[in-house]
Amino acid sequence: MMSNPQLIEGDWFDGVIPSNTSIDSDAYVESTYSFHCFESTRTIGLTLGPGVGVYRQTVFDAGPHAQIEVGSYSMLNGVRIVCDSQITIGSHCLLAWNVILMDTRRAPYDRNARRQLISLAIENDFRWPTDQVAAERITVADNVWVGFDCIVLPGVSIGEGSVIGARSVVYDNIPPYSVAVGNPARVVRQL
Amino acid sequence: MSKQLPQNVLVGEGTRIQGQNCFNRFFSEHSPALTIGSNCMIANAHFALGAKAQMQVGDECLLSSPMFLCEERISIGSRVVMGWNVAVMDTDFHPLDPDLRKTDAIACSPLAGGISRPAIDSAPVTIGDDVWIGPQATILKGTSIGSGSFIEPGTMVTQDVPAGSRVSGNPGRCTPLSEFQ
Repeated sequence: MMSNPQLIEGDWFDGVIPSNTSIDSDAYVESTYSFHCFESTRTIGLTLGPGVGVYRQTVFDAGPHAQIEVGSYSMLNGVRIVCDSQITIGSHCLLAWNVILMDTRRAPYDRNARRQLISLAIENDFRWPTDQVAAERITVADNVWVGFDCIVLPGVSIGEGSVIGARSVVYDNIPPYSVAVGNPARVVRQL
Repeated sequence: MSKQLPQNVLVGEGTRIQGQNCFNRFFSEHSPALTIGSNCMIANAHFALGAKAQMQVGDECLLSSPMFLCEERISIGSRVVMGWNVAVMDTDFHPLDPDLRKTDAIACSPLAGGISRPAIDSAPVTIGDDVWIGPQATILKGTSIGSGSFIEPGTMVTQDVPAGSRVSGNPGRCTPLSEFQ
């Protein structure tokens, strides 16, 4: 395990890896930019297994209660993880650029409640409040491939071995070994 | 920051505009061309406004890395929130007609030699007050989004949205928000 908090050599971003993370010594994180809005206060808010690669503009946008776990050999190639509860990614997963996994929309459907959040944000130097909307955990099982620009919405589980086509928006659970595409994403074949 | 703004941009009190390249493609000749209300946060926006474009943003809007492609008019109300990489456009960019499009391709090429582009369809976009637009949503030309609506992440808005709707999918489909509260 890395000794935390720590810097990354040659990092373009002026940040640190927070101490409440468990990053395997055989995992790779390209930049501390990934942690610039990491606010988890859990003992371990993020776990990265051996062989995990975290590249480009990947961001762990984690609220105080967030717990993010990534198995082994998974690739996060410019992914935004918005987490107020729990997001679990298995092993051998491939997540492409501009994929968003969000276990919360961070905004209620009620218009007046949204107005209050906007006021809170303005009072707090334009930082959007976390933990104001119920979050529903996301589970991405082993060996899942998520194409570029996809969005996975709160409460979704994606089964083992499945593929989500580029630019899909996933509202519902996807069974194992399925190919799902579209907005909303629909299963179009089995693997 | 304010000294970097183009002269025909008016910004209200308490509003913050962040990012280096917001006005790289800001060519509007109107004065003012872009009016932004008070207490807004606009981070890493892309204001691509053509010569005849006009745009208004209300008060207390929070917009993170939005892209505005405007040839005519885009109006945004107050307390509008946009997640990352939302695109709003009031133009088709190029003609649909194949012959006109060929002319346009030549006019856009390095061999254009000053010939002008054919007319391109545009239609104003209006976004009402208290509209929430999720990340990576796209708002197409000629649409009007009624106040209080909630656009789910990744939605493609192609038609008018009645006030108080939840919109999801591609193409975006509307359901009354009251069914979700």
